[in-house]
This record gives sequence, C-alpha cells and structure tokens, in this order.
Amino acid sequence: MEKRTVHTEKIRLNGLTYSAIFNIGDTKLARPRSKGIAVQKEGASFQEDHGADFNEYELFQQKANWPPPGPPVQKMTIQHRGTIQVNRLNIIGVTQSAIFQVGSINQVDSEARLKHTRKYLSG
Amino acid sequence: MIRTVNMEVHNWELCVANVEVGTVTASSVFLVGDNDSFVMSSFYDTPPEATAIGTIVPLSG
Repeated sequence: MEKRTVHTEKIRLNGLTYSAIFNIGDTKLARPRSKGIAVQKEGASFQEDHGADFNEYELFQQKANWPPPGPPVQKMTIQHRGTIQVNRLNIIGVTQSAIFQVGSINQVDSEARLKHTRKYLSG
Repeated sequence: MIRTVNMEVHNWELCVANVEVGTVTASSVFLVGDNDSFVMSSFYDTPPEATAIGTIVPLSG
C-alpha cells in the first residue's frame, strides 16, 4: 500500500509514559502492554514497592475477552495526495499503552490494566 | 462459505489545522492517517470504598 509522507509544523506533547508510543511515520504492528497499581497512601512512610504486587490482585490474572476475528478484508487504498499535513497538534499526555501516531499504523493490539488501591493509617 | 469484504479506499486531502487533546490513555490511539485493524482492551478497578453509596452532595457555591 502506498504511504504518504507527513509534513508537521508544530506538535507539542507534554508527557509520554508507561509503554506509550509517539510516532511520526509508518508502523506495521504495535502490541503495547501495560500493568499498573496506583496506591494512594495515608501517612508519610514509604516502602520500596509500597507493598504492591501484581499476583495479589485478580485483575491481572483475568483473561482479556478479545473479539472474534472478523471476515477477511481485501482493502485497496489509493492515495491521491502524497502528503499528510499537520499544522498544530497539542497533546498533554499519552500514557499506559496508548499510541499517538501521525502516518499509517497497520495493526494495533494493545492492553492496559490499572488497579487503584487506598491504604489508610487507622486499621 | 467465507465471504471476503472488498474495500476500496480513496484518500484525498488530510490536513490537520489545529487539534488539542487532553490525554490519550489506557490502550487507546490518537491517529492521523491510515489503519487496518485495532484490537484494544483495558482493565480498570477502583477500591471498594471509592464507590459512592447514596446521593452525592454537590459542592456548595
């Protein structure tokens, strides 16, 4: 499939974290995975790993129910203009297996898991 | 009988003047361009005490 070239004037991106992808150009396959535990803790005692362990939570063991593959698709693309023009793009954050792509990306298979927990001082 | 989807795409002008986005998060995609297939999944879980039981009183003012 023909590809288009990307002309960018100004892209401002503030944050790119936790297996996120920012790409100007073309990508064939992207398979980002991300697992996170967000701990909100009372009190100022800090352990190394905040006592967070992925095996503790069932959320990380669950099977993702991926949709069944659809019918085969024969796609023919004709690019009548050779360029993608981007004048101004302003994004604050791209995070947790997210993708910010200018240009083509053929196949994406991504998964993100986030468990929020709160730890209080009083029992 | 497997039926194939025949698709013909004609791309003409693709020009982004000015776009502002807050955040793109949890296995999502912000794309300016072409794609064939997206398969995405995200799991999210909040602590039990985060669930609001009963009516939520609006902040004053």
